[in-house]
Amino acid sequence: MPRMAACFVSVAVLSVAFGVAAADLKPSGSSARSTVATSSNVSSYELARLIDERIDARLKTAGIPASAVAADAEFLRRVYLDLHGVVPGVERVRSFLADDSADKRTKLIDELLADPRFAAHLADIWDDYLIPVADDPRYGKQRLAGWLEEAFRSKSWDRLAYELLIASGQRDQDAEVTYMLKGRETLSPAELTDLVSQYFLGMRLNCAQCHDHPFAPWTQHDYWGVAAFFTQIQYTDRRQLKSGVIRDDPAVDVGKLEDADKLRTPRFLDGTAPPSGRDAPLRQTLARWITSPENPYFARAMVNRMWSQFFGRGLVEPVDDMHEGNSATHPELLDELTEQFVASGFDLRFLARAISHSTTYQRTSMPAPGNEEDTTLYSRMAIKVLTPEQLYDSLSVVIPATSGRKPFGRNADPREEFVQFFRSEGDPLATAYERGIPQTLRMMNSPDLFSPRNESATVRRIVEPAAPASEAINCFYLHVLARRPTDDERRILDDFLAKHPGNREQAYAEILWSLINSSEFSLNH
Amino acid sequence: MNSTLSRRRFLTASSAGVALGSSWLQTLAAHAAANKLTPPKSCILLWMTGGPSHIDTFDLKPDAPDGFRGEFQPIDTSVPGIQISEHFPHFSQRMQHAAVIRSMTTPESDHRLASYHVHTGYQQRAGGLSFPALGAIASAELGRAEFALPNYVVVGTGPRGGTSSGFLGQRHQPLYVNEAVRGVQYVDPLVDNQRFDRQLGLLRELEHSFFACYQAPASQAHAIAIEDSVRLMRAPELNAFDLSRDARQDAYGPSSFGQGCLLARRLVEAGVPFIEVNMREASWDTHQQNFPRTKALSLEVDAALAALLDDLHDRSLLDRTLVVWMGEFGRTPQITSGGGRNHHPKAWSSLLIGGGVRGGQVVGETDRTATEVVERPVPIVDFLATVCQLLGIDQTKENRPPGVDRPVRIVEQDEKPITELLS
Repeated sequence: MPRMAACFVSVAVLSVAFGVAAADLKPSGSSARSTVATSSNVSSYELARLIDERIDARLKTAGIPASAVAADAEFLRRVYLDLHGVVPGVERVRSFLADDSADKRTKLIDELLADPRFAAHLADIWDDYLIPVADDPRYGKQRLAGWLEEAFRSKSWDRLAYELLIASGQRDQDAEVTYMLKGRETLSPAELTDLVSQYFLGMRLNCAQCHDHPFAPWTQHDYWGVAAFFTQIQYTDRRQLKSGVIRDDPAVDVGKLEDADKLRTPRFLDGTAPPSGRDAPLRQTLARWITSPENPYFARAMVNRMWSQFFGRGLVEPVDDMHEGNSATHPELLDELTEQFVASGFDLRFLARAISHSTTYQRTSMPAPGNEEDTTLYSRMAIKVLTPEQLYDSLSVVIPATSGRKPFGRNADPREEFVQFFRSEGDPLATAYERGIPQTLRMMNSPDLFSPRNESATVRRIVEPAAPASEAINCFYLHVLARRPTDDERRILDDFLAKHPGNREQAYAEILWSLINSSEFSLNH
Repeated sequence: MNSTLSRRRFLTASSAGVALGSSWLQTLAAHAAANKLTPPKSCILLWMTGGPSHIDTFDLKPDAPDGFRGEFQPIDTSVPGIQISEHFPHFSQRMQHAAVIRSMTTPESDHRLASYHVHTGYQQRAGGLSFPALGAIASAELGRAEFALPNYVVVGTGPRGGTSSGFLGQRHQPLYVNEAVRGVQYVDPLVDNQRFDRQLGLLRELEHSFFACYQAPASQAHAIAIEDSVRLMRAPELNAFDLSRDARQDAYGPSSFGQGCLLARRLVEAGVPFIEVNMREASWDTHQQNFPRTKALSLEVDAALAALLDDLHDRSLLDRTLVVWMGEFGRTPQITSGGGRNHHPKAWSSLLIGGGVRGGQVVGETDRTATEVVERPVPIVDFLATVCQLLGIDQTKENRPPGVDRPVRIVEQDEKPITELLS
C-alpha cells in the first residue's frame, strides 16, 4: 500500500493561512494581484495547496473518493516523463527509492526543473504544435526546436511568445521564423490567425473563417480583424531556401489587398482597434496585445495547456476551444492559477512546480472503489500514452547503446524518423492509445531495438548473468519500468525462468523484450 | 489493493468480449449462409490528395470564357455523349463501367477539414466526436472478425486526415502501408517461432498483472494492437503484399500510385473489404502550374486506373468491387496569375466505377464556368449513402459511441442516395 508522503507535512500548515487569501482572489479578467507572494518557492507550494483544496472540494460535493498518493516509484517515473519527457535511469531509480528523507519529492521536483532537460521537453511539445510535420530538415523543425529549447530555458512565457509572434529575419539565422514558413511560402494571414489563436489564445477561430462560429461568440468579423494584422508580412529571396527573409512592411495598406472584401481593419478580439497613426508594424502591435498581462485569454490558455500536459486533459477541454459556452470543470481554480501565473511573471517553472507538488498530481492512477468511472474530477491520476518523443528517448535510456552504434535507427536523424513513424493521425486525446499495427510490429521486431547480434551485450549491461535470479528480475524491473516487481510478477518470472529451455542470457533477453513491449512501458501512469 | 477482485473484473470484461464476438460471428455465419452466392463487396478508394481540378478532368467547359477555360481538349469516350479530358485516353474507353458525378458540393475549403468531411460524412467540430472514416465503417460492417489481414488498409504516404476509425476504436484502425512495393515493414520476427511464442506468452501474463491493478482502457487497446499484429505476422494472406509475384505488375506502371492500385487489387482478392490508395503528398494541390501538373497526374491515374479495371474485370471481380475516385474538393475555375487554381468545394467531380454501379452515366451538372451546381447537387451524405448502398451497408444504421448518450447514424440523416446509379 503506498504510504502518504511525509514531505507534505512541512507545507500543510501553510494551507490554513492560505485559505483566507484564496477567498480574496478575484475571478478572471481582473488585473488585481493576489495577496500571495509571487515568484518565490513558497508561493508555488501555496498554490499547490490551493489546487488540492479546489479539487478536493469538488470531489466531496460529487461524493467521489480520491485514490491514495502514489508510491515513490510511480511518482518518480511520472514526474520524470512529465518534466523531462523521459523515464529515469536505473541509478536515479535506485537512489530515489533508497532515499528516506521526508522532502525527497520536493527536492526531486526542484532538481528536474533546474535541469535544461525541462526546457528541451517543452521545446519538443511546442515544436510539434508549431510545425507538426518535418519540412526541410536543415532549415525547419529541428532548428526551431533548438531555438525553443534555448527560449524555454531562459525566457518567461510572455517573452517567448512575443518573440515568436514578431519573428522576422533570415531563415538560416533566425530560426524562430521557421514556423511561419511552409516550403518556400509563408503561411497566409488566415493560417497564421488559426495557429496563433489556437496556441496562444486557446481558441479555434478557424470555424469563423467561413461562417460565424456556431457555439463560440466569434464572428467572421473577429476573424478577419485578427488576420489583418498579418497582412504586412513580406517574404523575400524565397528562391534561396536558406536565406529567405521575413520582414513586415508597415507601408502595406490592408484595404488595398486582393482579399480586401474579407480583410477588415485590424481589430483585436476584445473589439478594440490599435491606435491609428502608428509607425510600428501591425504584427508588433498584435503581439503586444496578445502577450499583455491584461489579455484575458493568453495566460489562461497556457495555464490550461500546462495543466493538460500533467493531467491528460485541460480544465477546459479541448484545450484550444476555450469560450463561454465551454466551461471549465473547475472554473475558480482556472481563474486562480491564471492570476498567479501572471503574477509570477509568466514563469512556467513556477506553474509546473505548483502542479507537480500538489497531492492531486501525486495521486496514484490506480482506481479506488467508487472512483472507477471518474475521468474529469481528478480523483486519481490519468494514464497517458507516451508521445513518440517520450517513447524514443525512453527506449534510448532502457536499451543501452553498445559501443560504436547509434541507439537505433540508421536515418540521418533517427529520432525524427522514429517520431514521424509513431505519430498518430489527427489529434488524439493524451489518454487514448491509438498505436496501430505498423508501430506495434516495429516495437516487436525492429532489429534496431532487439538485434540478436547485440543481445548478449545488451543483457550484460543490465544484469550480470551470474547474478541470482531474484536479483536479476529486480534489475530488469528497475531498469525498464522504474519499479520493483510485485509478488505476482516475481512468481510469473520465477516460473518462466524455471521452465526456460535455453541459457540464462537468452531468457533474460526474452524478459527484456516482454517488458519493453508491455503496455506499461508505453504508458505514463 | 484488492487484486483478486480486479482480476475478476478483467476476466469478466474479457469474457464478455468473447461472448459478444461469438454471437456476432454466429450472426455473420448465418448471414453468409443466406447469401452464399453473393460474397461481400469490396471498395477501393483512389484518393486524390490535394483536390483535383474538375474543370480539367471530368467536367470540361470548352466554351467557357478566357481565364476560366482550361488548356485541355475534351475527347469522346466509349459511351456516346460523355466527354472527358484528353489526358484520360485509356480510361475513356472503359466509361461503360463508370458514373461521373459532376455536382459534388461540400462546405469545407481547408485540406484537413475537407478531407475529414469527405471521409467521414461529418464536419469536424471543436470538442466533438471523432467520426470514423468510410473505410472504418466498411471494416465494421463488412469485415470478418476471424480474418487475419486488417479489414481496412491505407496505402501511400501523404496527409491522412480523416482516415482514422474515430469512435469505432482500435479494431477498425487502418493498416497504413507507406510504400506499396515495400509492403508491411517489420513483419518478420527476429527470433524463431518457438522463442517468439514464449516471449509473447510472458508478455500476456504480465499484462494481466498490470491491468488488474490499473484497469487502463489504454492497456486493452494495446493488447488488441499486439494481437492483431501477431495475427498478421502469421497470416498466409501476407503474400498479398508481395507485388513481385504478380504477373500484371508492369501493367500498372512504375509509379507508387500504380503499384498501390496493384496492391489494392491483390488485397481485394485476399478478401479485404476496404482499401484506400492515396497519391503523393499534396500532388493535386495545383495553386501554381495547374496545367502541366494536372496533365502529368491525369496520365499517371489513367494508366493505373485502366490497368486496375482490366485486371478486376478479367478476374470477375469488377462487379463486386466498387472503385471510387475523388479528392477533398475541386479547384476554382478562375485561373490565377500564377497559372494555378485554388480550392473550390462548391462544385466538383467524382467517379464511381464497377461494384454494381449502373455505368455510362453522368450525374448532375454545373454552370457554364463549372463554378456552381445547377442540377442534382450531391452533398457528401448523398454520395456516401450511395456508396453504402452499393456495398450493401445500411447507411441508416445507428452506432452508439462510447460515452455519448445519443445514437450516431452511419450517414447523417436527410441523405438522398443517387438512385439512378443503383441497379
